[in-house]
Amino acid sequence: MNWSDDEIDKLFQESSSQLNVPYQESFWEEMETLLPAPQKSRRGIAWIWGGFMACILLIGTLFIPFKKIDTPSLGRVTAGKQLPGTPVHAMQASAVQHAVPLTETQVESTSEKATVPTKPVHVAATTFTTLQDATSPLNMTVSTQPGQTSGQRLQAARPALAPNTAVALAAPATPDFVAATESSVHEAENTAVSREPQSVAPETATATTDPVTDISGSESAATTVDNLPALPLRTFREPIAQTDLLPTTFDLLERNRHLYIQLGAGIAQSYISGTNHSSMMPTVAFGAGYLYDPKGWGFSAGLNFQSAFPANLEITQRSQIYGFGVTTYQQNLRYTQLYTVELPLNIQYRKGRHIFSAGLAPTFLAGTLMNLSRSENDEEQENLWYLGKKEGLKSWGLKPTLAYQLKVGKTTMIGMQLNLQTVSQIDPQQFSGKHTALPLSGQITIRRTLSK
Amino acid sequence: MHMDSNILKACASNDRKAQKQLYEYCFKMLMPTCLRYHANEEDARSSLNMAFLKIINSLATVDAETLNFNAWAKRITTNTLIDEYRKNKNYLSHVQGKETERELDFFSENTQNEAESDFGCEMIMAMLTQIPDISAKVFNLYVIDGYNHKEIADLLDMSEGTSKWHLSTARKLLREKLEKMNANAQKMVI
Repeated sequence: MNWSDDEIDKLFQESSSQLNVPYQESFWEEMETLLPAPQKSRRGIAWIWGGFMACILLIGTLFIPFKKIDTPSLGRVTAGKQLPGTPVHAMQASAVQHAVPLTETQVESTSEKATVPTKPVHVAATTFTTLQDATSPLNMTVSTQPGQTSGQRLQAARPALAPNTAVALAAPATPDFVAATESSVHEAENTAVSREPQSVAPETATATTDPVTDISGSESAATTVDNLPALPLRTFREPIAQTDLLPTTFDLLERNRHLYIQLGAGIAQSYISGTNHSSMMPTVAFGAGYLYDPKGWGFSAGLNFQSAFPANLEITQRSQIYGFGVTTYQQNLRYTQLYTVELPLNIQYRKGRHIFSAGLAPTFLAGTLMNLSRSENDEEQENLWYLGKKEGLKSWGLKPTLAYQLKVGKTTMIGMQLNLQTVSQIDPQQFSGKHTALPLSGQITIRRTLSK
Repeated sequence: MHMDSNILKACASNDRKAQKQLYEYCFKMLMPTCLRYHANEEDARSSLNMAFLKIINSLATVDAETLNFNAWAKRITTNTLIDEYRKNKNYLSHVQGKETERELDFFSENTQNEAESDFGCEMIMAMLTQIPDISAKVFNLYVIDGYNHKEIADLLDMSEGTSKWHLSTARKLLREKLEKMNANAQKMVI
């Protein structure tokens, strides 16, 4: 008998479908020893990642200092700069004071009884200098401590006064005394501050803060200063700088500390290749982050979104059913885009315009765009597109990164970086072909800081 | 024969009872495949266990609702068998040509039945163990598992031309054995 190729094929196909081995319970017992022990949950991993991210945030916040407020004197605090807790009328009054400067001989006396509401201090470690002449016996400095009220500051400063001097302080609302004489801001009934051009006779002066701008609320406590003698008042000779009258913006970040945005494009070694030759997949990315960029060592942390376009990443599932003839079912799952979120954390060294950096970037494969086609006996039955499925792909990865950047402007940097995906994104059991264990990727980036 | 997606989900969450149920199902479905690639049942079961372990580990990454489990599991099993072949390639080529335990068992059990000349499926499949291992692999992958030459070339690290040559060789050798077996059967009848 002569056997044709088709007859041989058919004989073996039919024989293979008839092979049968009886199942025994002992087989399962053998198998069970190979299976991983039941785990309680994946909470442990979640906690590790959570802790890691918290550490990054904590370290990041250490590098974000808020701009310190300049140490103001009582005379200068008035010119349009509103410090926390400073009433509006105090600033207005002070502006009037600057407009009509007093002479050296002018004396301001305060009352025998000055009632000054106090408020908690909201600015930490700020020094207020009431009288700027260092040679004057009236020179007095009141240093505030966090949480200290102005009344407490007053009490602390009082022993330093000369016996024949008297001052009523209500830092930072002290300019209210001036305000009461020159402007109509304090015409409220409970405000009784008087001031004569040459001298002020002792009388009762009571300064209260504007209820609208007084943010101390119920925490305010009244401090009464009794029997204070007349006090010569130091005046201001220096002109007011125009910039002092402008509102001050509160800068979040100091020099060398920037927020940045970044765009990048590059190529990566494909996770898998159908042939012996490696194939490439293009990538595009955009991101934003924080950059501490002094000369020498610095630091950056950010959040990037990357899209990769793989060429050969597909799962083909084929089954043949032997019955009356052979029916071949095939399902082809082809990934066209991979969406990844990265958290790059880098240290850098800047020398002139050149910046060298190295770091780590945990990556999370957030989703994919994939094409699913099903066929029966090579005849296509379905062709669908899905967004967000990750079958056969691992979610988490880790990429060490080396980068070089060149400053081409005050706010612009161009650079290139080399990444290595140390945790393979694919499950090799589900993809045929040559697997790339450590896919390399390179990117050209352009980064722009939001401040100079 | 269809696997319930709830069982697959339970297996993914490491439910032992569901895993046992799935193992029994897979044993019946995949053991014939493993037997085609191994000379004895013990090795075949070892490969099946390895494949089943991979199936369990991979279940968490697939959508159980839309998964064509049979095709998927078969694919994993075939890849496992090919991986084992790659690892043991040198060893297999060394023992090639010797009568295996399975062959001896087969001949001891089937000598009496040869007179009937009705080839049993085990006898036919045992012929695959008597031809060069690489040719048998190509024949299995192409004829029975439905791979094309390009895929076989990728799996076995060879060119498509080499894959075609091995398929041709396998068919030629199997044809010779079938004809020889046929002639022996006729002699026994006479």
